[in-house]
Amino acid sequence: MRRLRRSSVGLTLVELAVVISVSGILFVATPPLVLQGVHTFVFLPRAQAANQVAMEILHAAMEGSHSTLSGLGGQTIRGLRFAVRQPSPAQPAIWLAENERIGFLIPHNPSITTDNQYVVLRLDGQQLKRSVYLTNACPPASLPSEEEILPYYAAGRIRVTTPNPPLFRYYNQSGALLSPPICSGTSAIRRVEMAFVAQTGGGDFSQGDAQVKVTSSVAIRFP
Amino acid sequence: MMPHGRVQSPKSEVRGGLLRTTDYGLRTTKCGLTLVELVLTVGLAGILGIPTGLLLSEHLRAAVTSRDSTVAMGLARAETEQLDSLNNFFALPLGTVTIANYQGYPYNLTRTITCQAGNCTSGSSNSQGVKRIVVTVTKAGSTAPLARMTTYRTKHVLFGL
Repeated sequence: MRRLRRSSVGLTLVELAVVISVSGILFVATPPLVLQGVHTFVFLPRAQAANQVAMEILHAAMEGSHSTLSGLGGQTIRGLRFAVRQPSPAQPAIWLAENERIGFLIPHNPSITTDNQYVVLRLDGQQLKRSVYLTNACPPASLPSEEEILPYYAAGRIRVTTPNPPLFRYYNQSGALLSPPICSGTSAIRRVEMAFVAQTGGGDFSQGDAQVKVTSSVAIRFP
Repeated sequence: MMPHGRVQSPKSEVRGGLLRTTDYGLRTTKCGLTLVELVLTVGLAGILGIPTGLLLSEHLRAAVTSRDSTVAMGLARAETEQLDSLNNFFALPLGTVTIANYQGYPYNLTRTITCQAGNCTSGSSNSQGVKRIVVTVTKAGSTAPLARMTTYRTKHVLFGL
């Protein structure tokens, strides 16, 4: 009998209880941790990309950026900060003001282009696009033949949405919010506020997606 | 008894007058981890997992900080430009104002306006004044500034003359 007990290999009740407890803890704790880790690994590069795109969009809209438009390739299209009215013939700095579209005048600069630039930024679907018009006819008769996505490398990867408020909001010199003066009355605009969400996929962390909501504004020096 | 983890060829032995044949095929069904092995495995997994978790945690913290900085800088600039666009020097009262949840974001914005030079309260055209405006954005519940911007507003100052 004693020989028989020696040959039977197994766990004591205490050992079994410990093993079951440890296994139970591992089974309960490990999957959520692993899942969270996987989400985080997927989320991190997307968060960085969304963040980067948000910064680039703000910079391109406010300050300007290099253009990929043919004819302007490699040259800088300046942003809203450099929008200036023209006295003769009288043209306001902002000639088109809508919730999801803005047109502004960048005056003649020999080092950049030979003519005034009538720059338009607009939200098209879930991408911010920039184009340069030949005139400031308001509303624009048609879209120019070519637009570029801001920033160019974000195409198809980062979505730009405007849940609330709209992409562009306009304020006068007293700080009062203006309802978008589409074409007329744009000379009263002294500040443009820009708000949007840059996100990957649905922006949901549980799906490994990321989003960043940003708001900034720029004063119009000579409206 | 065969030691665990060691490969041996089947053999027969005589014990107590009985011929006993060790059937390794049957014994493998009894093979498994001992408690010590299991604890060692869990310990090693922990040793490997903890640094990985810490690394991931730091990476995540950096991503969140980066996002906070981007958003806070945008908000600070929004407020600075807003003050800049007001065409009235006196619309900016001296003192410190804190706006909680600025524009619906989970950040607090503090605006401090001081009179940097001259007379900032007199409306006389002979009275020059320079206001210093500091805008600081912090995360709600924190005092560490995420973004800080400084600008100046003047009245009755003729630049370059």
